Amino acid sequence: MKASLETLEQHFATVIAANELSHAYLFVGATNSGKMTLAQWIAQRLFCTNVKDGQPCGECAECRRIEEGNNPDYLVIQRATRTIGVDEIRGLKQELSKSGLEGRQRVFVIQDADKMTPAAANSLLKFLEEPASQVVIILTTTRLARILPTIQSRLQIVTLQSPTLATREQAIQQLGVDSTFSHVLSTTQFSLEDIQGWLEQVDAVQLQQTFWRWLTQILARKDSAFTLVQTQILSTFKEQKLQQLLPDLLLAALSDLFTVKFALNRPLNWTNQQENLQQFANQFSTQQVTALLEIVLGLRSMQEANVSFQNVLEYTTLRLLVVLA
Amino acid sequence: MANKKANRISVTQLKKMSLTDLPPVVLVLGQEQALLDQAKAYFEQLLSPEEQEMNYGRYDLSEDSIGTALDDAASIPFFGDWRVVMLTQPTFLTGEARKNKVDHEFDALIDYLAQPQPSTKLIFWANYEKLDERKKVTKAVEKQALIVDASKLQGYQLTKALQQLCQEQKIQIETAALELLQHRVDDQYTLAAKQLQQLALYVGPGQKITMADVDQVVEQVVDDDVFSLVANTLNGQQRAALTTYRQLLINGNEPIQLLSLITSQVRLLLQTKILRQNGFSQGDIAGQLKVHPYRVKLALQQERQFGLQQLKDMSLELVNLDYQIKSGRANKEQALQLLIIKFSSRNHSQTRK
Repeated sequence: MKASLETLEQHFATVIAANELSHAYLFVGATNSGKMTLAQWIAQRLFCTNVKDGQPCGECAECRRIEEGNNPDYLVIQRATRTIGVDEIRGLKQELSKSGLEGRQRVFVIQDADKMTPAAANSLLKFLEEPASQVVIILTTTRLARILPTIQSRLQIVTLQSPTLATREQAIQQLGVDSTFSHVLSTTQFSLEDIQGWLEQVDAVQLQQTFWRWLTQILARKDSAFTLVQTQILSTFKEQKLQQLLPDLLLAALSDLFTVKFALNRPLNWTNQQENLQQFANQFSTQQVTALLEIVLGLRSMQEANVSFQNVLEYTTLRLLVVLA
Repeated sequence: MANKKANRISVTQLKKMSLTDLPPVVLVLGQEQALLDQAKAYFEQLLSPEEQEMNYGRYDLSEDSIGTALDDAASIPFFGDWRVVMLTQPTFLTGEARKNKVDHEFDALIDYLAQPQPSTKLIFWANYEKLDERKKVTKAVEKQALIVDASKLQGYQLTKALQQLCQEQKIQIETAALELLQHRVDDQYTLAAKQLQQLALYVGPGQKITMADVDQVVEQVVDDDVFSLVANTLNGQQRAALTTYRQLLINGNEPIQLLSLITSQVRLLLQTKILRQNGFSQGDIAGQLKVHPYRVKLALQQERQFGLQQLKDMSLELVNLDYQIKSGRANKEQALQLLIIKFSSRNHSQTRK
């Protein structure tokens, strides 16, 4: 069952009051659904010196230290890298075996736990099985299926309600992105901070133009799409996060092509490309459209296997061209 | 000495010159180690050990400035007739970007070259393939100096030099055996010279070296250059490609790395082909792809051996293999070998090595 942040806070307030807090939780929810807010709330609730009606005050020294990340008993593991390795978990385990520095409970959070390598996840298992007392460990993830079943079964799973797409879209628009692109971005897994990060580096308009120039050439069956990868896409999509975004943009575009082709009664992602797509949809057979979609769906698994971005894109370009030939 | 060839001699000719014959400025140019060693030995025996102490100067121009060296060169020899000043690392004569921090006084050098000290032998030790002849200072040096050629020997020159070496060292060798030797050492003079001495020891004094001897003693030098792996694979020289591949693996190269080199070459071929067919010129292609024009030039020549579809297929196959290897579905050494065999058997029209 999905619950809103307020309901969950209420729930945890009761649990903590009854002293029935479990030792390990898994927070599942879309980006910006408030997983970290909830984790922080729990830590504050446990450490706050001035709890009122089961709510932390948010003003005392403890609450503020947690908010600023200065409390040694509230530890967040957050990695910008693609994976969380076994060494990092080993370090964490060492921390876990110590009692609280200031003699209380400790709270550990592993953000994006799906990034743990199998080895890392397995090394965590033993701890989850035999918890040291006075420790709460919270794992957060956007993708539940990526967490090992053996881990899942040892945790209490809490599912958070995702913010509605409309709210997210509005928030993205406020960063200065045009309405179509915000709509596309709102359906991706990227957080607002991520998006803000890119906008400082690249121009959103140029990003879309480059992307569509490439895709249009593919759909127009032009071989020059292959060279565009090196001449334009690589220089625009430099950041690693942007490189992860490209499959999403492509998937959104091709699922639009699918929608147009089969005249499905659902709104487009790229609302401004209706005519462009309609024209191509008329030229392609239904098999071709589904085949295109299938190729693009395989793109991310290649990226995750560490095949270089350029290779992935060139490979995809050529395969799409083969389907259309 | 207006004629360029007039002031260029071989190391063998150099060895016959006496100290008095030697002009005041000498430039040793080339990279053939055996020849360089001979030249070095020659310069070192010019002065007697007692004289060397006072009158032999050696300056590393990547650390010392030319001015210091010239001061030494301009002074009169102590207790002797000659002074020898050896200048190593004259990188400023080449086109190489300058890495050293030393500021050289080139004007002083040019002045010195116009009027060298007659009692000094100034030697530039340029163990480089070639110099940048557009530079003013290089022109000045080349104009004044006697150039000793220590560049890589090839073809006829190589055979002649080896024969001469045999004569000097009283080694007898059959013509066919000498040919085999050259082939085995991949036409490297330095290596051949070393192997000749081994062979002479192997057959014993007064004996002639036969083909069978060379076959037994000298091992085939395997090209361990990644670029020749790529070239051989794409040019259909299967045998050479496979031997190189094996050698590269023995040397500890990572198959994935080799694969990515092949991928990038195939990518370039495909890109140049597409762009050429779209009417781009060589310069435009280089500009668009941000690739060095010379690489593009070569790619444009090579690209014509392949069909567009063929290159596309190859590119797909390469990336797919990369994915297979990285997701643990293929054994990297074997899979790449298979791919090399496949690619190199596409073009049978090419002659084999």
